[in-house]
Amino acid sequence: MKNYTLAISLGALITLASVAAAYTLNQRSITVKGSDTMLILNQRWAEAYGRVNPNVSVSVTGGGSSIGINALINGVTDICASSRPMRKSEIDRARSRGVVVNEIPVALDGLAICVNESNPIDSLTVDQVRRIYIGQITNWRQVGGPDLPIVVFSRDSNSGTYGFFQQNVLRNQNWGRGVRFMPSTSEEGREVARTPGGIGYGGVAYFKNRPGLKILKIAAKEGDTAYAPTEENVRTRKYPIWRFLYFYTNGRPRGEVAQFIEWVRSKEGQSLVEEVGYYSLNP
Amino acid sequence: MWRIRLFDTLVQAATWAAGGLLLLTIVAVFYYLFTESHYAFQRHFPFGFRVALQPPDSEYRDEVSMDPTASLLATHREGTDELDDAEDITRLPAPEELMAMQSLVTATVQTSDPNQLRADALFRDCMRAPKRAEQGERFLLLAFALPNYAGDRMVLAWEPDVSFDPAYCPYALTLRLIRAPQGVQIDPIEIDLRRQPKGHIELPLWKARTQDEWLQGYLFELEARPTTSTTMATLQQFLRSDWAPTILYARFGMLPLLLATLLITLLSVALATPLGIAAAVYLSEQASPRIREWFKPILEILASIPTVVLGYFGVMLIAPALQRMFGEALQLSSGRGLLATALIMTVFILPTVISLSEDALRAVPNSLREGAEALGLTLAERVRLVLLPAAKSGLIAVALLATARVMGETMIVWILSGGTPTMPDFSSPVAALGTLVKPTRGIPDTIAIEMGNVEFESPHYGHLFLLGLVLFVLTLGINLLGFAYRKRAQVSL
Amino acid sequence: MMDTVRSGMARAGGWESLAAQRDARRARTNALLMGAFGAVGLATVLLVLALVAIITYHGAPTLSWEFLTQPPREGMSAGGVGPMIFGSVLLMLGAFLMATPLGVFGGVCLAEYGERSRLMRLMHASVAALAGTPPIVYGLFGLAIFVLKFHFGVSLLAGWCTLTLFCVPSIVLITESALKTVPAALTDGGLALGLSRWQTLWRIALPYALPGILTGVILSLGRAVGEATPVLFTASVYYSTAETTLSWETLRQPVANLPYYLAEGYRQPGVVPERLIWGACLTLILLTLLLNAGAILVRYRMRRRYL
Repeated sequence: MKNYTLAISLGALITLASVAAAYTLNQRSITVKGSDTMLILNQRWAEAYGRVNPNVSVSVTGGGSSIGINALINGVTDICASSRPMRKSEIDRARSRGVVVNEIPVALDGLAICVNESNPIDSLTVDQVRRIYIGQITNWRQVGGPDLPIVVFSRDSNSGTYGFFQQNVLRNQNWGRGVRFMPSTSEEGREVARTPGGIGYGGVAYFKNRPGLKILKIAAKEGDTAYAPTEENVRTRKYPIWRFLYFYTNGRPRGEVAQFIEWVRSKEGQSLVEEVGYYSLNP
Repeated sequence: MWRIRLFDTLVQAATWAAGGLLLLTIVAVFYYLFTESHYAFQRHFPFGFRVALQPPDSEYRDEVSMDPTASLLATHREGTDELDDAEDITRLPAPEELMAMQSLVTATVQTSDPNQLRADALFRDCMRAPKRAEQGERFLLLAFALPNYAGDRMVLAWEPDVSFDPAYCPYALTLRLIRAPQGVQIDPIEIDLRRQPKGHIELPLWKARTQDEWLQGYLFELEARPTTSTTMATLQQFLRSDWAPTILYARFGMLPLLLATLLITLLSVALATPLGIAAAVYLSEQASPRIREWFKPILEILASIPTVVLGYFGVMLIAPALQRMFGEALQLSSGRGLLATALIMTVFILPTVISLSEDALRAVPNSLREGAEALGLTLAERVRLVLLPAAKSGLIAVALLATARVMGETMIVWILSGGTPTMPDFSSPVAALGTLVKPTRGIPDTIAIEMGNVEFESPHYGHLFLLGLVLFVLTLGINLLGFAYRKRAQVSL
Repeated sequence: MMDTVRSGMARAGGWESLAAQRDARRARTNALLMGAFGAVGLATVLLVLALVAIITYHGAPTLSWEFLTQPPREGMSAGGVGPMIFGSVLLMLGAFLMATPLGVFGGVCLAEYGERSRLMRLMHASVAALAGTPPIVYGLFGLAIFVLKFHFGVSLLAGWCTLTLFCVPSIVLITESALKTVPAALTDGGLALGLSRWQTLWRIALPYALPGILTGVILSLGRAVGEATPVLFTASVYYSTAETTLSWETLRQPVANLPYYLAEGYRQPGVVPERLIWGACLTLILLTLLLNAGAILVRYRMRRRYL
């Protein structure tokens, strides 16, 4: 018995000692918390910033935009990464706890709509896409295509794109009955390429140059010109399905946090955005 | 002597402190699951109808839409509109304002910023209001045609807003005519919108020529009269069959999640228990002590394989196999679903079931075994006639323990279920097979998936805690039952 | 029915041979059944061993010193899982230090006063129920109370507390049942020698029950270290450039850990290459295996000492 008591207390002692020792070597650190969509992007930024400024450590957590927003409201993170703008109720709640919400766009995200290569349709309006996904349009004939039933593919609810699409394209309406939910965007692309009447959505990078797929041009509304989701069209906001990705801070950022955000928005930081598959703020 | 007494006091204090902390924990778990769930009961029950004035021969197309030369003005009479970004339709405008609003009756908000598309969802001719169930709501609608209106009759058409299901509405919804224009003879109109959510009525044509006449149009009232309290309505809807928490007319029906969890549990426990008991019988009755000595630690190790790893294993091997088998026939896009989950669950629980069943069997007194042997029974007969009946309570306890473990296991379901809430359908063999292999979603993975993206302290957040509470109460019941059986069997598992 | 029996008797030539025939059939059934039962047991073990083998096959090439110590690099697509291992071990150690005293003394409490009052019986049942409560419920609870109410934030501290809660009930039960196995002769002997009740407990009963308790503690820690859900909302970080050192700050910060790394790897398919995923799977299995080996060793050695 004695031996074990000894071993355990020794272990505790060593832990405490190392804690004390490490305390003196502590780095300055910035915490970024929030959106799963931005997780990889944040990780890239953190990693690269570690090389630019080795004295500052950046930790990145996912969990979802809401987790990040809540952390900001409770004051437990320096930066909240969010793939959606903060809701009014959240801003109010922040204000009631003395947090002044400061919104900083850091990247652009656009979603491409793709169909099977054999489909003669070249463009759709946002509203047509919406009605296809909520099940009001079920045949390509209804949008001027061949007499072919539409097979609708979507990402499953695990992904950030799912939320983006539901919010910005479906306008928070319910998915149609026949929608088939896929575990990953690449599997979604594979299925659309295999199904003549298929339609799917996802990051452009996943669909570009894939055999059997055609990326559609999208018009903001009927009568408008349809644009392809090229970098330029997204950046100039001609292509209609896009959103900002945001950093939120409490008040104007200062010190290391400000330097980090400045670097993120600089040319060097923005060049990483493209590598991950999103669009940089400015060319 | 005082040292001994001090020592005694210390140990006793530590013991009591630990006991007290445990009690506190138990109370706290209950308390916090309950208190956090109360956010669920702060939900709103929005409703929305699209109403339009049209010429009778207009094509309805897919959605009720407004004729640009007809006017329909709506205003709140009671209650407030709390929707974010809602356009202000709470007051009846002055005649001169009505003139200026003419263009607004057609329904598109022009914007190229997708973040503002949310505002676009609120059409001028669509009346929406989020409300607590105990609050009523009254809209006034003023309907008239402009001088350049082409038709010679006019029709008032209505339908529920997209994704709004009047059946989910805790109000009695009535559309009634409260005033006709001067000189127009018309029968009273009163329509129950829950019984007739989509339809149209013909009105005698009435055109407004001067500004003063605008206000004399047909005046309708859309009344939402509460039929129940918010608490009741929340609970009723919690027991319904669709889970779509992120849409505008949020639905929190947890039935598909609960049924999926129960089905997965049932399938895997039904598979694992007989297999596990069989193996345990072999281990405790037939295997040599040496084999047993080796088996037990191996089982322990197997039981501790992390569930994330098991989940990956299922994704890499079982799901593709299922897709190859049924993919073509059932239009499967991946093999993830109920069956794949249940199979991996079986693998997950089997080692535990074997190990615990063996304990339960070994707890049967040897005198029983020897007595049966003395009667000349073969081993299989001894097992069937003596051992299993004697160990019954213990084995039931094992099955219950396994049930609780499987029911709450999260990572395996998360990775393998496919993430789509689906009502099980056993109406035909094909449908049943489809239910088994198509994507589904259980309670634990719903909590894990959605907790990251809810607004904290919102009704959705509350509903996730409510789901947690359901899971907790279910497993609590099963565990207590298992505890009772264990006590009866006099085994500690 | 009678006919067949009679004809059977006629063919077999009387009761005796019928009995022999029946015995043979019984023996056959017996052999068949027990064979099948043994096969099931063997199949289970083989199945799961095959699983381990497959993961080892895929994961072993990835395993290297670099993989075990380096942080992930290049958008999680290269490098290793060093911080994740560090975090997992850290979470486990903290939970061990917090859960063991609480669990053991709780078990003592139950064993000493277990059947005495209605309150204690209720507590016993509740602890048994808590031991079977799903980890996701602990995750929710940890989120509500430690992260939000106590303002720990998503942090190592909140993770420790949640994991502790997760481990304690099973440790309590194990301690309680291990103490029950202590022969009355030993404790009575202690009391007869004039030791007080608590001294008997501390010097005689607990040491006797220790192997069982330690095994249980280690096994429940093994379960905790592989479980992603209690720490999912309470303690997890995906990536950090922070040095993997300890400081008081660490307590307030989230930590990377293997199960969460794997869960995210699933949620964002295609980001973390399969090679690394298999490697991380194998590492996690090895970690739990190490703990299990520890448990087996402890039990083996201590059993020899006391029996």
